Amino acid sequence: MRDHSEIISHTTGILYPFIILFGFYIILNGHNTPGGGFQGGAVLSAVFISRYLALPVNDIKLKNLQILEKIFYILIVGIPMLFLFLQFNFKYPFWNEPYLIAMNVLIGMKVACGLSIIFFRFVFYESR
Amino acid sequence: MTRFFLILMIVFAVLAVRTRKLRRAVIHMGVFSLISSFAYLLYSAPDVAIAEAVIGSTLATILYLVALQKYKVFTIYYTNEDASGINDKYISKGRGYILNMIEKFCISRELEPQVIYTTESLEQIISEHQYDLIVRQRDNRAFIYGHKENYQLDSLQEYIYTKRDRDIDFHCVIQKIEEED
Amino acid sequence: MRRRITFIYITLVVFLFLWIYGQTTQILPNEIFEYYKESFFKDTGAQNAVAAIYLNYRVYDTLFEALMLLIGVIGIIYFSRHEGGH
Repeated sequence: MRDHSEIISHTTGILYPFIILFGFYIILNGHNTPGGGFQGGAVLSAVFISRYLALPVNDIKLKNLQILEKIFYILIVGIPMLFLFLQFNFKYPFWNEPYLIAMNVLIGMKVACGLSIIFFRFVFYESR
Repeated sequence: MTRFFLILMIVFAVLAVRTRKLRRAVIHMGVFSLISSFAYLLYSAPDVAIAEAVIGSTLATILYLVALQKYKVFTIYYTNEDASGINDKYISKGRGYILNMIEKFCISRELEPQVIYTTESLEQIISEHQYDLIVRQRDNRAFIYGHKENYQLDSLQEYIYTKRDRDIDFHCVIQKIEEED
Repeated sequence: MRRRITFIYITLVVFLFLWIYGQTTQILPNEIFEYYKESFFKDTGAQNAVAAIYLNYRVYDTLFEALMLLIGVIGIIYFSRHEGGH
């Protein structure tokens, strides 16, 4: 990966926004169309991987990503506890759809953080 | 239609197991994942198909390829402490002999040898550089140092022991370095 | 000889398995399945039945799946610790 080619970096530069759009489309429409948090998060982490192919620089703070992932996990555990176990979904049926969207977004962000941490750990810290 | 893709999946799975080269096996695994995601789509499970296409045939394939690339480069430091003897005919002959042997070993393992010649001392190299092997030569003896966790070291020892030329008066000693992180 | 016997044995087992598989018709008890299919939109407001199941009916699955990914990340960080980082 030391001699990265011009063609790959230009192509991934053009493709960036489309991959991000596609990932958010999958996440936000997860409750209506096939897809969902996990798949959209995997697509979003593919953005980081294509960024590595374009310019292999180690300037991502993995520690911040880790903290973000833990916060997202606490939210993922907390929101269904509040919403489902206290039976809010039968009392206020209007909040069902916002709940689904919020959970999909949280799961998507958490999966994107986790997969990109795994990838960058393997790429930058593993050499033997 | 479905049956054709299922048969194709079996063909690619067998190919991935039977190929000699690791890199080709990775590509076959990627194609296998793609076909299996298409089979999920034919069974009308688009969610699983998206997950399989993204994880199996993109992320896993790229991870395997990066791991192979990392694994292939094999850095060898060659050091000869007294720089005055570097043009000595005897030493250069021994140097060519040992490095040639290590390079042959690397080629048989599909590794990419990268030799770096220095005049630094052993401790300096250990503390300052990323190495896989360090070769230090003194007269007609070569000391090969490797990290304790380097799993190529045992096979290198066996290779040198079996392939060495008994006519040449040259000895190799392999030592493992135990260093704390 | 030994390899040939093993090969014949494996072939016989495979054919036996395929024969049994062809004979049986499996009928699962499908009350839950019917219930999910009829009332997921009314209960959860999602149009995708899969999302309805993994975010509402079986939310424990999602919680522990996310926990599994978190534990995988922690394990990878632990194993690649010896190359700097923290």
